[in-house]
Amino acid sequence: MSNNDLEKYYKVLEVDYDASDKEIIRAYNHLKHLYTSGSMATEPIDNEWDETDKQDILQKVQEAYEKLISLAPEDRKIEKVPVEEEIVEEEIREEDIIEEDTDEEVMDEEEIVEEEPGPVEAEPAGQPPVVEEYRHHEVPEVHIEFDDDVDAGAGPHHEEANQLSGILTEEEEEEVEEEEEEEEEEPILEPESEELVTEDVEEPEEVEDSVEAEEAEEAEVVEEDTLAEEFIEPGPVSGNTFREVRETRELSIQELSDSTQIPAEILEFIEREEFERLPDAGYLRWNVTTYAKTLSLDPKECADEYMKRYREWKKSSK
Amino acid sequence: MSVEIWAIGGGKGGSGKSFLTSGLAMYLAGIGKKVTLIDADLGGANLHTILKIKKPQHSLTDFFEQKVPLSDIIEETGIPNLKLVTGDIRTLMPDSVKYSQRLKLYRHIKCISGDYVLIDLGAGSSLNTLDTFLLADKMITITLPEITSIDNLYHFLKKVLFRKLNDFLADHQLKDAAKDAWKNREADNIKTIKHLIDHFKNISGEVGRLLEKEFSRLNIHVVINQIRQNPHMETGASIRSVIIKYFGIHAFYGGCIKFHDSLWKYVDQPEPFLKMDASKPIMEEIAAIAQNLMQNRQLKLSDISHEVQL
Repeated sequence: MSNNDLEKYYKVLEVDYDASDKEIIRAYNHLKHLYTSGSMATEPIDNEWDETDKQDILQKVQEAYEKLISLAPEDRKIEKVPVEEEIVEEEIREEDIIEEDTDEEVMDEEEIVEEEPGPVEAEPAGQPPVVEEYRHHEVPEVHIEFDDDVDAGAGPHHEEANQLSGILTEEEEEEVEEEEEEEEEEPILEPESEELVTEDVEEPEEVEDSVEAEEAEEAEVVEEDTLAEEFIEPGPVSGNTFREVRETRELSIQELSDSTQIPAEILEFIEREEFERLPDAGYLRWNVTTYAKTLSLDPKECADEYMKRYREWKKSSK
Repeated sequence: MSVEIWAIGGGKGGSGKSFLTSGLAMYLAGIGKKVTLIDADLGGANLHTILKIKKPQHSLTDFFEQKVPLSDIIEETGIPNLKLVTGDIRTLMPDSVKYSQRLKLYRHIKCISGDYVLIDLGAGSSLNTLDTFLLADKMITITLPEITSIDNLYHFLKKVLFRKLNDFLADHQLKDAAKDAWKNREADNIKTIKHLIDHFKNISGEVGRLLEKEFSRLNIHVVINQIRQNPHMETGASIRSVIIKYFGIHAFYGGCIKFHDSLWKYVDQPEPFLKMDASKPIMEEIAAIAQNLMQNRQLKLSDISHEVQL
């Protein structure tokens, strides 16, 4: 994605260019609510505004959210200050606060542009680019879950949402294919994503290993897993894993709740895997990621694994 | 480096403009910045009352009527680093200030030495107020989390932007073009001030480009006062969003001040309220706002705690 597009999406969501997943999700929910239900901030101008104006905003917000959240924070970062701050920096240039950084920033930008098709290529040949691959596959997954969420909750975007996830799946395919062409040495992906996107996640070998890991194979996985140094037990992650790790760190649910801002009962439901009492998938994934981060577990791997269990439950409960 | 000018305006009377202005000034002075407060609330000046200065020696009346230089009417407040230009308290004709006099005042304001000049604009949206607001390096508005107050803020912003557009077009030999376009707005499908500005952004190359640049430099800092419940903290972010999406200019949510019920007891005390121990919680909130303003940062949505999602 070009820097221009990224800038545009950040501006639509009204967040900084280095916004975290949490900030993006929060901004998205806020804007969606604001321009769907209205508030005292929109009421004074309601009579000057057509419904189509709001729909237009909502559509752009939806698009910006989906594009940004599908990228890992490091892949969507723009090494450039927002316009608002540029003004100030022009003025205080004398104080040479930024002078040193400026060159680097420019270089970074260029690098990003060149690397555009995917940071995968930048990885040293020896290491499988696990994170990036996951991220690409994760995209539709997130959408499907979140769309479910929308359907169950607010509802009004049912059709739109389904369409969008369809479109995205196709885009994903294209992206995957492009990458394959450019990346002959490492044919990790098999683009068979026509059916259920969720199955896609299981395609890369690394994941299969960790999912079907027998005890004997576990050692091997650990070796391969260069990305998750702090990850304690590779292999299936369940609610129990969280509880065990938390208890070995001597942390109470309440302490965790205070530092993560996630309500204590949600954390308990996560540990006990009381899926029916948990918020819908979009939030659940974010909650689990935050929880994992706080315990210094590999947030990505944990969330992937945990969400797999959640999906299995959802499938079986239907 | 020249002095940085902050103007606090917009919103309706009683939304806390003078309170915020004096609070910010006291905070900045307290951290060692040289601050001059200017009470430009023509006809309703009361900063000297908030700061408990019983008999101001000079006021803006002297500047306007006796042609005393601004530097001579700046007074000490008894608070280190903080000086005050008392408002136009001795005139009965606040509207009689001529355009040329205002321009002179702006020139003098820009020449004040020190780090910050804070201007309290008072309520209303007279040309005086609009022009002073537009002159500032930081445009700060304060509103209560109430529809009437927010409505007022939007009216103020509309006038500010229209004034800005008018001035810009007049400087480019297009005097009255904005008024004409607004009169004939239906023909061009112009419904809002943003449409009007966009209309001129799209005309004749260079002027349009300059106009775009000029408006992209505008940045409104929004402060919410007297918050009584948590959801109202998000109102600032909502107003910011409306300013960005409906008015089409940059905005920051500078922060918020909670409703402190015990405040009224202290207002009549001989000491400035904000210097008293009782005001510590408020001064902490004001400090956060001041820091945000100084660094062009804002209170982010993600920093506002909330109960359960959705």
